[in-house]
Amino acid sequence: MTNTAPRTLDGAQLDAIRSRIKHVFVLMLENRSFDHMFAFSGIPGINAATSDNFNSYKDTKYTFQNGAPDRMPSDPGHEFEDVVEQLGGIGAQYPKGGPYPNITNSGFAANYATSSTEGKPPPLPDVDKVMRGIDTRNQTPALYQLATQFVLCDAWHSSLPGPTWPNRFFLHGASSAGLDHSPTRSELEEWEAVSGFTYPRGSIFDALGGGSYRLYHDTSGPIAGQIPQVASLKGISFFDAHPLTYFEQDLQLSYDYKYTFIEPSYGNVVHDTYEGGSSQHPMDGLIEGDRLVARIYNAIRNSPLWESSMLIVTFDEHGGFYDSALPNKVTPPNDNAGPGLNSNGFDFTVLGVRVPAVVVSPWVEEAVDHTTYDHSSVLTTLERLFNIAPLTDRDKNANDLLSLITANLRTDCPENI
Amino acid sequence: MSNDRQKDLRDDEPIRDRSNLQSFLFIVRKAHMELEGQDAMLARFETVKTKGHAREYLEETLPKLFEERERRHRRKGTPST
Repeated sequence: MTNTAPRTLDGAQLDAIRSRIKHVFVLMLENRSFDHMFAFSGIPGINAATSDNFNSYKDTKYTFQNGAPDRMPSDPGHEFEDVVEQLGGIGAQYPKGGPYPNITNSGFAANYATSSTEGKPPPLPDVDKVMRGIDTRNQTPALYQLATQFVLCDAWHSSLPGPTWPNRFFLHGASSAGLDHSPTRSELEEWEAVSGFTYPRGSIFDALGGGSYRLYHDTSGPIAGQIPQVASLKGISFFDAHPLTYFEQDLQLSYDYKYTFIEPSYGNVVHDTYEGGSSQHPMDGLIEGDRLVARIYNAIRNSPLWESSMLIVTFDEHGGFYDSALPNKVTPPNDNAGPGLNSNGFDFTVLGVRVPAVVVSPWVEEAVDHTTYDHSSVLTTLERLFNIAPLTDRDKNANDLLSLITANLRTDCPENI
Repeated sequence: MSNDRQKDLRDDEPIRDRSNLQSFLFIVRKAHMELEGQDAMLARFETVKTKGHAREYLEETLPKLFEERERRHRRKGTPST
């Protein structure tokens, strides 16, 4: 079954959905594109790259193919200027204030071969690895199982064509306050002076209010990777984030939180290897992140919350990996963010590269959903579910996930994966 | 973990601007400041110039933050106790 467009819900339908879904969980992993993760999944009905898709660089044609390694030999670039080239083609540039170059998705191979924003470029024989997809069923068996048992979204995009930090900010506030790049030291110092990164119109945590949400982060792996990124926000303390070691037992107790946000461990962030984490960062591999996916699902599935839950597993951005879907135009936040963080002059009218997303609930059917989403769709879902006003024009106009909720409570969902 | 504690040749490299490491360090700074005050945090962080310094700072500071978090959660009586 495929859904091609979101339905409009009337009041009665919305009330019915509100009676079914009372707890939303989000796990956000790191840096993988949709085609890289799912093009070779064999899941029928998905819009995905084939061997007809290719990039060219220095007289070599790099055809999209299978055989992606668990770990990349070097970290593909994914800063704003990298993504401009990946989407716009070799040498493409973004003039301050736009327009965004004509998008052809033709510069991924060239950018991987030449960009040094994340470190040294790879040797030429390794360039093809950015144009490869994994064996989903065997390299990420838990995610594959969820994708085939629940809803796989094949048009979910990162919120802007840029790196981790602004994309994660979009998940929490439907805006990055104009930030279109990884933060500089001077920007970090400015945020520190005001107790953290500040949204012009607040975050989803401000809107929900304390006591309505809960934060967890995986505390496996190197201690330096056990830092919750969400604690960079104003209003969120490091001490608000709970170690994931308590997750299973917490769900068995009186758990009234409407929204739960879960972060992986980021591994060795000191030396940029990300080793030992569970984020599925391209330098670290897929196994621990897949175990984390299974752990989160199993904990919710075997808790009293299961029948009133929705779990979303997605990725913050594409990490420089090829994807064949051309990002659409999108409504910018229009939240009066100043120009201070907008060093590239990006106008936020173009989505980022497509990333995987899976929606899990006993109230959804097995399906591939072709609806366009971005990370702001999580906020739109929360806002309509819990009767909260939109934070910005981005989440106001984003598609929510509520149309996926059916009237049938499934009893065939796997108890453990 | 054990490898992390050994001297690494990369420890002498400076902390790159716009790096994830730098941004994560500022999250820890924020919590460190909340725990011990701005003066104590700045005095300690003043010596953090290289990746090796950052590793030492994180390995020294994060356990204190985790301990304080446990203490606060026990006091609040939230589910994670």
